Amino acid sequence: MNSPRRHLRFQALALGGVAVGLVPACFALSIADPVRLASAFFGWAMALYLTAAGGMLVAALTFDRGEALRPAWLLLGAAYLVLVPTQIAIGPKAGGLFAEAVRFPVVDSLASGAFGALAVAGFLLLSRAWRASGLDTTSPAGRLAAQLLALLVAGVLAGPELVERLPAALGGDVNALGDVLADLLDVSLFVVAVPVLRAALVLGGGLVAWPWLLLTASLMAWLGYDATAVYGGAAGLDDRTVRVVEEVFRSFGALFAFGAGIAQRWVMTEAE
Amino acid sequence: MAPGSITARIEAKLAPLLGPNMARNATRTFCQHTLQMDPEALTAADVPRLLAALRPALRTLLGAATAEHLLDEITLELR
Repeated sequence: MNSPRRHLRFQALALGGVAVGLVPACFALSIADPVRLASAFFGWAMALYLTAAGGMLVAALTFDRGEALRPAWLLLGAAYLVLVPTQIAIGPKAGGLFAEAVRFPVVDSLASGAFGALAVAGFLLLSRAWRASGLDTTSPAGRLAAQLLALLVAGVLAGPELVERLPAALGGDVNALGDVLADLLDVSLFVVAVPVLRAALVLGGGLVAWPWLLLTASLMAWLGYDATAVYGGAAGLDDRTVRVVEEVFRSFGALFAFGAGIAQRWVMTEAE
Repeated sequence: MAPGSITARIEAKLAPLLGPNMARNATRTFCQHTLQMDPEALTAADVPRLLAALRPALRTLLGAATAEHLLDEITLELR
């Protein structure tokens, strides 16, 4: 099989993620009732989290026990999996669609914190494996510059909420503490994931780049989710539109994560 | 076999998986740093040492089974 054709199914996987990721926008166009729309988003999010976890589990199980990337993929899959029971307990969220307080806000904060912690641990293992491979030829100065840039971007996205919620968190508000923890984990995630982005770039043109590219795309989608939540209103979007855009980014984040896992398996089976 | 062509053939085997730039960089970096020799001077006798140097990186990215399969293919082709 010639080289461009070997990339076709990976390209289809990425494009499929983009197409399917637009489903929440279709929901928003076809469902006017905000309560029903919230329910549709809820069901869709559960399916997404299970799909993402499944894709990453496939990647993990393609590696043998003791191999460096197996625990990384397991942790990333677990990050999505932990959201399923907690979000089922909380139920559909009204945010941006109608007025209703989130049920079990502490559970919601804990779930976000667990997702962030598992994702940080997973990306940390991926980044360490990449550095340990000896293929990372970035200079120490280049590494530092990339990490400072990631810190800046993450700070711009997480900073406003962090500043807003920190006083309440320090005052003992458990919900605010959960939000602060989730924001700090978001910042950490973008910083520890920088080597994954570098790997995706330097492996460009090779099949091995695909899982790293799709993981980067997933992370970028979650960046978009955070950016919409923080700056959507300031950009002139109404509450409903902000929520719809958030849901589209959530879909991209989970579907690209699924795609990354499947791509990892395809790379390994293709090369055999 | 001309010495320089061995490096090129290893790069060509790695390129579909690692990409052309990384295949070239990895082969040349491991030649220079691990084998401490000019990549163009690589001979068939040096190939096992170069592949042994590449093995951990390939195992990390591809898993042990796939990496060993690829290394076997390169060994067979250059035999």
